[in-house]
Amino acid sequence: MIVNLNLENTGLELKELLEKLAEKAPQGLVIIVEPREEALRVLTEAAASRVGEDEALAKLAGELNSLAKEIPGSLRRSVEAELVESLNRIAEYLHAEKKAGGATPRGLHVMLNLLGNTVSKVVSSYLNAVGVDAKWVSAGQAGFMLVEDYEPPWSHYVSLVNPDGLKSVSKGALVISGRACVDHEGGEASLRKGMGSVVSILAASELRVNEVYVPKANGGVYTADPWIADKARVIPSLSYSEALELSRLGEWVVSPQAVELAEELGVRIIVSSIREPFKECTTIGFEKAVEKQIVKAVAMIPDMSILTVEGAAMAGAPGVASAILGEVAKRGVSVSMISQDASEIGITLLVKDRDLDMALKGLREGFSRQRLVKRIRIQRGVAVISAVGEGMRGTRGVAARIFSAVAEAGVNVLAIAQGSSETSISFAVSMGDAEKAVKAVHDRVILGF
Amino acid sequence: MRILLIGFGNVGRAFLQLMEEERRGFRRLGADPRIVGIVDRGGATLSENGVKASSLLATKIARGSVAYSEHGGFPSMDAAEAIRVAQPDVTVEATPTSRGGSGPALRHILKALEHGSHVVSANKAPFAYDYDTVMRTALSRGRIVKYSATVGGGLPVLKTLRTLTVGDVVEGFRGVLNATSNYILTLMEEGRSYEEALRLAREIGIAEADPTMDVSGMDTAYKITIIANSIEGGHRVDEVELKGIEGVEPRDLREAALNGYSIRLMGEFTEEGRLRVGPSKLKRGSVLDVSGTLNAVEFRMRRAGPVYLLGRGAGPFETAAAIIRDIFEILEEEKR
Repeated sequence: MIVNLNLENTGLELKELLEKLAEKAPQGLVIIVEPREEALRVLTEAAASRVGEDEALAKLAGELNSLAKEIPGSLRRSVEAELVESLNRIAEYLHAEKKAGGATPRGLHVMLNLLGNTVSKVVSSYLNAVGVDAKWVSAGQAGFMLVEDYEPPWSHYVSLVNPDGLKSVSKGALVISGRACVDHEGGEASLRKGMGSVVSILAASELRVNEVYVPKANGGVYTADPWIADKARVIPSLSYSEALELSRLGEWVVSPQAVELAEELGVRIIVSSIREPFKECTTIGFEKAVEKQIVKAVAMIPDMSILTVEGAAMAGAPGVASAILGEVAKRGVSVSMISQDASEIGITLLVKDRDLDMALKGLREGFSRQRLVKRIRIQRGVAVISAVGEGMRGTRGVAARIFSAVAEAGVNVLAIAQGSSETSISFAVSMGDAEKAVKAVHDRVILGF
Repeated sequence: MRILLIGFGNVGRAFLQLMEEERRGFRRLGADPRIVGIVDRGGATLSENGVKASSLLATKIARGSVAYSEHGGFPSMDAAEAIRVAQPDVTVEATPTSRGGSGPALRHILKALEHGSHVVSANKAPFAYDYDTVMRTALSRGRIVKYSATVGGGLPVLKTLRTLTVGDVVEGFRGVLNATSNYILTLMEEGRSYEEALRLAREIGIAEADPTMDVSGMDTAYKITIIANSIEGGHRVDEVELKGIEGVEPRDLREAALNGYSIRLMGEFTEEGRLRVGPSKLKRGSVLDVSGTLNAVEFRMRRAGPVYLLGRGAGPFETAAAIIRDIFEILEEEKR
């Protein structure tokens, strides 16, 4: 049984969850653990001297103590001693980095892995406390390796290179520190966000297990953010492509790469509740029970900006879109949505608010000597709303229903895009209208269909 | 422009990555650089249209050599053969610096020159053992040899030197030129033992798994020999009086501190033309008293007096950037 335990999904109160996992699967349990992003961020910021060492260590101590607070009796004392040891080592590394004049890539990896491993030790201790023979290893020790892609956009991914590390788990439980990996030279390499879920899918495939369980605090994937749409409910099943769309939109249960890999390897992802970790809340798989539910979910990406690049000379000039996107990409800016007029005299890009200046700089520099681009218009404070559902493909009138609902809610749509797969429709609205738009699509389209 | 890369370790890979990013800069100079081949210990891969970096890396990891690439892999091909077949405009020598002699890098460089290729090297050994041979061959073949990446990486030591020597004379120089040993000494100033400081330096990736070249002073010896050769030629690294930092004790640093001094691993080229490397006392707060991974060089100029350069030492990307700067310079020199 494979469980992807991402503290981002579960929160820090793990005792009950781990007891239930131990009760249900005392043997052959593999848990892939991922720390919370906030803890990793604090450490990264401290290494770069943007957060003080003492402040960072206090936050990390708080995080680790909260995590370990329910470990019972004498075991807790030894875990606490290990936490102190880990924090001392992190303090030593932070100091060493400061003396080096800033974060070294390897030093940062060592610290992030140390934090991930410490969290995994705590998880393992909870299992030991209820009598499970649990041991923890890093993803690197379990046979995983970071593989870097040496062409733009310089991504990295993870590969299982030595499956023997995994196969040692015949009795008891194996807790894998899911982001603590090694590179091809055996050096410490911390995997980026989302890669822990990829490790889970690879482990499941190697161990010939068909499902990966992903416990989540509020159980399952919702039709919309319940804080915005009070009538939001859990979606019982999602196809891989629907899950992929939602994960790309920031509905983070597992990463887009993990969903893609799960489809390729035929592994189902079962999003469950931390109260009942083996009860299926949302199942991501090949099931296509989509006819009844045409639009399954609506999600929002806040804090975006619109960049509209215009110029009459752009019409009919081959390679313009590629050149525009290329200039933005060179500045390391990711484009979330693209929309172009059929007349080809304008192209609209949506980027994160925080990336707008960088994208703008890239475009201005890239096109400063050309007459192709006449003007660049910007609008900050925008949100992208996406309606997702495989049933939209080939179904007439979906877009009309969505935009009628939005119009009836009095929301002005700033830009629209639909992928060729027809699995989602995305549109941009101002931040002030975003929640109204989500609620309108949810209540009138998802619940109304 | 056809480029052949010899050596596919950390520097070679960083070079490949930076080349992708610098394509536009090259186009501005009217050049379209293509890496038409890569050679490593296992053989070579050649591609007229330019090698595909990501698949090569995967091949290297999975099978140990780029030579097993499905696209133009040649397992038995050595560097000399690759130069002959690929006919590069520029050969980049990025193999690890050898000890005790120029090693295979000298053969690679001479072969490249023989085939009419310019050379850019990150390998220090040929310029510390056989500088005159390399430069004479380049001159006789009418080719350009650049080696900025061998000293300082991100710090333009050799370029600055070239500028300074126009209308002035270098009478000597000294400097802190090895980031690893400087970092270890900085940590030892806090009372850590040499072993403890080395452990930390290794763990955060500042020291290599085998730090001998750095802590023995050999790396600094290579660098000062190369700088001295750039000034007047005729030097070999075996003539350097050499002492490393292994024998430095925390109490030495404490005593020095009490008297207002720091101890740094200093490389020096004296006015008498002697080369020496060893731990030296420096007045605290003086320009060369740099800490952590910083490097510092002082050139003593006959007319301008002392000129200083300070900055971060080299990592793979700084070294790769220096290689790219050298290629840019070759392009510009060719245009003249």
